[in-house]
Amino acid sequence: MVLYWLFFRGVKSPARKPFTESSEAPNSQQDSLVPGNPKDVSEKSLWEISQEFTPVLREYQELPQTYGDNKMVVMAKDPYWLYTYWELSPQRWEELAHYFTTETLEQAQPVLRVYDVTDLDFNGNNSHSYFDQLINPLANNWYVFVPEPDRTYCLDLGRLLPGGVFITLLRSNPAAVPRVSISDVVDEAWPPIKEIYRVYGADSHEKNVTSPGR
Amino acid sequence: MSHGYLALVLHAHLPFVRHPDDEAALEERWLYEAISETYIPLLKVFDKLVNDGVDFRLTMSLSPPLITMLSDPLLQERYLRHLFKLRELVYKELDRTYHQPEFHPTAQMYQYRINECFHTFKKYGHNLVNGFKRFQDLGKLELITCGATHGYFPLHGLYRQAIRAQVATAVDIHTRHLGRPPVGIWLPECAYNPGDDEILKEYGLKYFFTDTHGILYAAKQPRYGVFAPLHCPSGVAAFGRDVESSKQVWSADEGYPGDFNYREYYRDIGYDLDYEYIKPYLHPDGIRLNTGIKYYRITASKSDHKEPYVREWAMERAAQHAGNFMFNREQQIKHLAGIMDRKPLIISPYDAELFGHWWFEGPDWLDFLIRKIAHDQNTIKLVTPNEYLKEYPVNQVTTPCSSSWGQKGYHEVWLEGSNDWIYRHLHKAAERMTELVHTYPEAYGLYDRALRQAARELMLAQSSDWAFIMKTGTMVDYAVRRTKSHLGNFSRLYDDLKEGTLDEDWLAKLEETNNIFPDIDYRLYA
Repeated sequence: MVLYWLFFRGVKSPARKPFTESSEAPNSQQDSLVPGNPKDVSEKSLWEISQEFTPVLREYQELPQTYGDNKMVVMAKDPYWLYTYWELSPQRWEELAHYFTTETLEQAQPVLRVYDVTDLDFNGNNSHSYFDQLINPLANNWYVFVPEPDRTYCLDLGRLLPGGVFITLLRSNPAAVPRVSISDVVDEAWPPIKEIYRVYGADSHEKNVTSPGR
Repeated sequence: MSHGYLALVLHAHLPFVRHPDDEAALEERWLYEAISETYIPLLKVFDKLVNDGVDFRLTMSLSPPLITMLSDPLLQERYLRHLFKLRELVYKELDRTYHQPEFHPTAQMYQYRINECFHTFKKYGHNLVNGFKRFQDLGKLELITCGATHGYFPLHGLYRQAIRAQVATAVDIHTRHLGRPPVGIWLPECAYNPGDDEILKEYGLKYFFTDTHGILYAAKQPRYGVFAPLHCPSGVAAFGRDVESSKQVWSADEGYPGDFNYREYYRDIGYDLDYEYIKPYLHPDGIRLNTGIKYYRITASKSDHKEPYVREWAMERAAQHAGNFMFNREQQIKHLAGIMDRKPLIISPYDAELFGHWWFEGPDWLDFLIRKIAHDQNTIKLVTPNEYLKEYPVNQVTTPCSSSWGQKGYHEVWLEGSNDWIYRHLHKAAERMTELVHTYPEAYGLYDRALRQAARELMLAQSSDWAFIMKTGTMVDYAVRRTKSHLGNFSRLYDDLKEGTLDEDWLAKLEETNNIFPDIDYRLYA
């Protein structure tokens, strides 16, 4: 059990049902080697008895809520999903208050603007296309669905004002989402052998038993 | 003359778990169990093959945390104590099962195996890295490296210096322990992102592996599918995993390890036996755990009723399964050889710890397989990736697709609701590490020590194992605490370095506990 998660990566065991340390334990009367009660196990979970780690001072035991940055990072999770997190300092909001009335800002919608910047040196205005994703105003991270794999996206966190004006608060790094199928590009010096693709299939990542149930 | 090649690849890795202050730390048992059930049995298999004059080739990655733990004197001593305790239990078991002919032979098997553990452990001077090195030096094993702490490259990739430090530190420690630099690398979780190969090239690594679709979905259609490597634009080769051979071993429905004659993992006497009897071998707090002594076979897939384990039957099945695996590879190679204009190559990678720990008979299967390949056929030949590249140095050039061997094939196992919160902190720490290097490009004494420890703490926090555990939901608290404690240690070192308030006693304690990579170069983060 202890190692199960680690080695067998916890998900699909080969056609076996895991016994846990408590309720699913095997029927002791029938199967145990000696009479006994295998269920008198302490219900305390294994990690409760794990040791305390080397001295972390109290103020470092919990991670900070914020690092005081103005920063937005985006990463590809898979061909259709991006994950972004960000941090916005109070000063940034104060700057905005110089330009817009409180009322305008209150009415503005919190938005992620998702730009397709594939093969571009993006300057804020030259994206192939973009769309807006409404978000929760209190969020500091979000998963964004993107329509097309094998493209590079860049995100702005901003506010959409009632008149349609978009204010950028933060801009992310660009992130490429992976391909989800075989490329159309054929290498003339290395033409694909069709028979291999016929037999060994195209949708490999879907059919694939990835590793131990990962 | 063979028609094609098979490369068996075993990825051996455990996260760095070392708690000097707590001998009863449950998590340290991961190492002890893996030593007894996987690493020693594998070394025994190699040993017998060499003694019998059977030629073989196998590729194995030894992750830097694993190398560090295997060569750590404290953990070696604790492993021996663990083994003594286990031997005592086995002696009691011999007594207890004396009049139970259905169980006694199995108890005798454990006695034999434990003696083998003592013998092998001693033979290699308590350091099993020496064992693997021996077979490397004999030309049988191609030992390759992994990320320094098994960091998940695509999710740290924005910070190129973090990837560089993972690669450079791994290559350095591998070279120190194994006497020669690694030729290849097992990317942690088989996770690749285009461009990472540039860093591999800087450190002399010639190849890495991707999952099947990493190759199949390359920027240009690969001529040979996964049956030949690609060269990245950097010149580093990428080898793709074969689906069919993976499925035969891993698959929940079709995989060999689920055979009813094989040993049942979940019927351990640590859970089954009378509490008072087994208590001395459990955790001091009385928590039941796996002792490794198990008497039953899988018997049936959907029933809790289990029959006693019969070693002979299990061995027979292992031999049959090895024959079946070989037959299927022969068919595959014959077919491919007919349609390809070069010898096809099948890459079959597995977690090393599958063999023996989870699939008890796995090392025997491997033994049978290697012997059969050597004696019973002429179609396939075992090869290492480096040997293959020597025969076929020219390969199609294109960029593999970002991928991993995790569920669904991309990055979501390590980036989802349970673990996404770690990345903002890990990224910040990587950024700060670079800032520290710029502040202290040449540090001495206490500052040098603090900077090195900061790099160690950062790397330990980056282990993909923590994100994985958070996702799978078992032992989550341990993973969360490890992440937070390494990040906390890092933050304090960062603050102390910035403010000149280093606490030498505390630093010394950290150095003693998290003592991975003694020679780490913190300037890698520049």
